Amino acid sequence: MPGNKNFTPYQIDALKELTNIGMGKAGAMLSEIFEHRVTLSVPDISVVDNDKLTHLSEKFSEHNQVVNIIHQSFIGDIEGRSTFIIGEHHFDGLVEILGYDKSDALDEKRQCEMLLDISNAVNSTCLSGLAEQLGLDIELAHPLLASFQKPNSALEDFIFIQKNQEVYDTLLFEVMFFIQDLDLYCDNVISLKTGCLKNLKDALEKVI
Amino acid sequence: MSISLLIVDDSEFSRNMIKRALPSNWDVVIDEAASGREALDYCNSLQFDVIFLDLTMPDIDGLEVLMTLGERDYQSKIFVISADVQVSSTEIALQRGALEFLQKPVDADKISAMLQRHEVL
Repeated sequence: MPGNKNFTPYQIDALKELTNIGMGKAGAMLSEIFEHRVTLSVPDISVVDNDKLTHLSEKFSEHNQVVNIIHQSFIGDIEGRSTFIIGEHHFDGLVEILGYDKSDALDEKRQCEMLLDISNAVNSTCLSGLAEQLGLDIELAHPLLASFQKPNSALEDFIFIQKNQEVYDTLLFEVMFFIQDLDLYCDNVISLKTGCLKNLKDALEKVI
Repeated sequence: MSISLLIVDDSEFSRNMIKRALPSNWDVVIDEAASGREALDYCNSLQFDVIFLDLTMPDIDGLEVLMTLGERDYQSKIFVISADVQVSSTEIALQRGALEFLQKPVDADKISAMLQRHEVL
């Protein structure tokens, strides 16, 4: 199975650090959006396997009864999909921060837009940061809301889908953001297509 | 006389990047710690002139290291080098005794300028 076996521990360490830099910028953006300090987890990079994904589900479910899942594909020198998972959120505060009207807090369509805005901001910051450091070109597609305010069992569905996507069955990058004052967890999971691993490895070697 | 430097970062790649960016004319003896806990253990027995400290680490994070060293009244010039670029992180780090906050990725010019500003170089 491709994955960590194709990368040396030092290459994985470098990838973690470069992801950390991208995610750090995304964390700063989240901090600005929510106006609260964000705690960042150390990036976890590993082969996507059943145990890992189940663990992800359990970890997130501990903190969130309701989840929103946003997918965003990217193409270019490296290709794959980013999945942003964010727990339930009260939209009253968000409307002001994101520049929406107060009435939009109760409008489901607007709520979806707000989640897409946040996800897009985090993903573009994080992925652009990672790609820039590796000297790679990527282009992000529009984000798609896969689950909106669904019970956390939706995460199981996401995992089921992910397990069966052979094409994404390679490296998984994960960073968890926690906003303590809001008791809000977000999780960003990036999975890469098998075909782009060589490009990633070549780019990594140049940086190392 | 050589400067004693402790580089604290859980990533070996990151520690190597920092070492690569150090001024070539800097007379320095380097120790490395791969975690906050290891850094505090080092500081229990050794006195470092300069510490480069990461913030996001798995066991004891950099902000906690700063707090502990402050409580111990550990005398060293501490510079935070981190990817956590939230304004609040910078503020807390500076409140807890860091002299400056350098954003990752580092390069030789940024490090030299920082060391010169604090008369370490």
